[in-house]
Amino acid sequence: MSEKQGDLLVVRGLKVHFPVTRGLLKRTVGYVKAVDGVSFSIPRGETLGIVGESGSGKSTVGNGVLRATPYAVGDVIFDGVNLADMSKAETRRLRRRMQVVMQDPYASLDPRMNVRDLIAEGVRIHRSMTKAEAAARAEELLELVGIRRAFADRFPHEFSGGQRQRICIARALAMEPEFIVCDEVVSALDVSIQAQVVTLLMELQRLFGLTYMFIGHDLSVVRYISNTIAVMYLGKFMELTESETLYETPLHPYTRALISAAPIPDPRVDRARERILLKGEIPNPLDPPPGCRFCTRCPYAQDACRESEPALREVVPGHFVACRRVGEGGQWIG
Amino acid sequence: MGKYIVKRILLLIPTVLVVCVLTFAMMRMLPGSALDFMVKRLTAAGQNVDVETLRVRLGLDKPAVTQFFIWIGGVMRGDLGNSLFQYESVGGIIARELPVTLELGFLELFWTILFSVPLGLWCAARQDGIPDYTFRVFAIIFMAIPTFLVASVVLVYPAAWWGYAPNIKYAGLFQDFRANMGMFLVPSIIGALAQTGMQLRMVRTCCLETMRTDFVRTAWAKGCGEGRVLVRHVFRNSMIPVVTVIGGSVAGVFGGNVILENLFNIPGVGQQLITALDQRDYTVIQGCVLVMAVIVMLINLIVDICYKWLDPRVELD
Amino acid sequence: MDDNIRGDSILEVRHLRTSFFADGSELRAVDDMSYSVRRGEFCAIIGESGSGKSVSALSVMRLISYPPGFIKGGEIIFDGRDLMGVSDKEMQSIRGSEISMIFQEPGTALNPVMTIGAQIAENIRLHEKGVSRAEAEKRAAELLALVDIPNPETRIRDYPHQFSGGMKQRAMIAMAMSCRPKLLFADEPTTALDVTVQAQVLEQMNDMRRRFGTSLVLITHNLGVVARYADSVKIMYGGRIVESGTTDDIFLSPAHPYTMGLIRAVPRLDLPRSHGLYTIRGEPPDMSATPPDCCPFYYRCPYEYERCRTERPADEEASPGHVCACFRRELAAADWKEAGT
Repeated sequence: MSEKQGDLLVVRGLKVHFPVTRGLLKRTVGYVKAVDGVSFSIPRGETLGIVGESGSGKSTVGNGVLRATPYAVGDVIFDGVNLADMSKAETRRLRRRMQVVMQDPYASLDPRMNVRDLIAEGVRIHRSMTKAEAAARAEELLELVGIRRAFADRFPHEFSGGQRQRICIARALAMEPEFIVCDEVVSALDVSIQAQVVTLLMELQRLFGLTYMFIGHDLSVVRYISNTIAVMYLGKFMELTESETLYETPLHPYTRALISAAPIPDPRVDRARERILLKGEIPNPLDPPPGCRFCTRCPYAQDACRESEPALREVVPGHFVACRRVGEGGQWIG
Repeated sequence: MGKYIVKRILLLIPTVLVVCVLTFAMMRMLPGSALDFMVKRLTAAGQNVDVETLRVRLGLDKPAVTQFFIWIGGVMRGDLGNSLFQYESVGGIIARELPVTLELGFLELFWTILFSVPLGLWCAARQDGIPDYTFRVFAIIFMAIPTFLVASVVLVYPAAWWGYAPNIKYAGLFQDFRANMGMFLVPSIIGALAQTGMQLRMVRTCCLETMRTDFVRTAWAKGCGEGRVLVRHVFRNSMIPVVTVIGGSVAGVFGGNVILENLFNIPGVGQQLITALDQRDYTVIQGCVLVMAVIVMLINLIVDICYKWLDPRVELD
Repeated sequence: MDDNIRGDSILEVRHLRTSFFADGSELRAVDDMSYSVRRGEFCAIIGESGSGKSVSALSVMRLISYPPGFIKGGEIIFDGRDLMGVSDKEMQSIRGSEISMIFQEPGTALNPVMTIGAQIAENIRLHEKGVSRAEAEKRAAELLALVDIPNPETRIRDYPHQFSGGMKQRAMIAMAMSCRPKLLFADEPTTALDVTVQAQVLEQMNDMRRRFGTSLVLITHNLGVVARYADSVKIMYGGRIVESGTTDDIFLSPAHPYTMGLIRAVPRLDLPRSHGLYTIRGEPPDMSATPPDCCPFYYRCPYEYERCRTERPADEEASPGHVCACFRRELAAADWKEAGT
């Protein structure tokens, strides 16, 4: 939707359905529709934020785009080339340009390699460099992400969580990517460190013209770094719009609940805000409710909402929402 | 639950069949057949043997596959055949000797659990105290010393010093309890030593791990006393991995008793199996292995049910 | 301000010091901490990981296990008694009845092999002698109803794995409140939950607190949660309380540079994206390496000068009831005012 010329990544109708098997013969008894038809595009140098609760499928979107799961269906067009049409060798070459940084930095770093080698390894994969040159480049990258060169001999366990996340970012940068999927990169970090990492990511984006897909559950953080935000619930986009618009004129009841639940560290503002308390929790993705996926928790659900699923449609230019009760122009249908 | 047990027992059938085929095949693949042994022995006794007649009488003249189906057909009817060397049916031998082996095995298991579980819990509760160190050292010693060595020492020295030796005349459990215990007590304790050492360490580790969990901290925060924390919260949760290990060791307990049965002259299936293997007494070996396999599988079923009973998160299916 | 609050304090902690010993070095997790909680108050302790906020609560409950932990000194006056002086037996009867605690991970904080009802009933029967099992289970069901668990009479027979994350935490609240405690510690009770569920659980906890007149100490790293609910806030850093005051004091006119940094390091949904994120440089302190005679925040502080490295700042009143331990608080406060946030 709203694809433009300068888009680096275009995704059309991405679906990831994990089969659920039972018994000795691994009979497929159903599908977990982790991602059930999402479309979006990210202009070069910009950031798309995907926000959702656990079980919303937000991380699976990242895996689907990177083709890291065999169950992904749909078109992923990177820099004008459809990933589905490519040979294995071509895909491998393209993978260098698409990197991922994940939530748990410790799990993704080999504990037996010092950080210089960890990063130099990436450098040498795509550049014919001598060992010494790659090591020098690795130290440069470490410095770039704010780790002192003197620490290059240390091993991952000697760093704090925030520093490890920086190392992971440096390792992704070693591949000289154009596109990085940031999957809950700051969720496990302390508030003061979270701000450091977010700032670093934005700085790197400015320096290298990187394009990000920033996945998270904290709407405040995701909005801060993203140009556009998709609000995801049970495998589908509920709302997709510019970051600034999302807080000012949220249209979907779920988005409004998320905003209401997001804390604001100012008692004057916080006490005056609209409060929406949702009932219950996100349903089991194996057995989503019929009709609108949000209807079981929506304070405004009507019978029609439980019968058929509303489509994601553009109610205001650039503002997409999947809710039956939002009319053309974005006004609320009472 | 009932449905699950029926399903599991039905699933036993193919497994047992595979065990049957494998045992049968391996017996026939061993060099030297029952026939050779019998001929050798009869010749040594100075008898004239007509090899072909003997072969026909033992039923070994038919092709192996036919032999297998004749045997398996008998098994289906509940007839395990006759021993090739003894004038007795295999069913009769097993009925006589299996209870002996089972009693020894279960006694060992009983001692193992009786000592390892409470001691392991106590060691964990008093981690790094003197009793903890003492029991851990003994546990390692018990695990390290081979059973036959302990058994030999126990057989030789008391006899030399005090003229004491364990009973070697078998008496049924229900006929003469004292005589029966007089026979089984010593070997079963010796057999349980290594297991006890291993399980004690296992129980201790599991309890220590459980004691560090969040829900145990919750129990303390609720105002539970130490005894209550250990018994109500630590104990049952720690038993979940312990049951797995004990269940896995059951097969070993029955298998490992061959040496003890031999040393203490206990007329169990283990002894019988050794003799039968020596002579290539096909039907006895096949029968014994079959019955043992069924017992081990039934015990595994019991372990799985215990598991469900211990841990409500386990789904039986 | 809450009308529940009465003047006298239910808890007064004075000069609490708790350390952990490992490999011959001492980690001063709580390093001379003093604070008080008034009856019926909603009090928040904010700190990052390693600031000693959880240890301070566990110390009050006397749940620090030795080794490696050890309460080195201080007074804990709870409802007129010094908890440091009571016997283990007495402490046991206080835990769960007069002081309760809720933990971070609802998934692991409940015993997986006991039914929810049995766990709540256990808490009741531990402290109220002569209550039958059936009676206790009946009360467990009533408590579950209070925290909005549907069909409580049947749900008490469920095991924790049959509850969702939010429901488990609500069951924990029901359990903690089952003996109407005077004081409840909630250690990051919503951190492991989804945002929309977080809001439910916090609301529930606040509700129960008001209903039973319990004083609540909420331990969290999330400033926003605190702004909405808390009456008073204490900011912890490096095992000490560096600033304490009413919620408005802390958020509207913070006095400690660390507090200011924390407030400005959170992305604000209500401000335009261009407002810029303030970052506190460096990493949280390693309390086994930080000398006791300095401000633990000095090497991350933009206002740091010589004195901060050699002397420990004492608590001073910035305004009545608003206490801050910083040599440079006036300078910092002037900058804050100028920035106009």
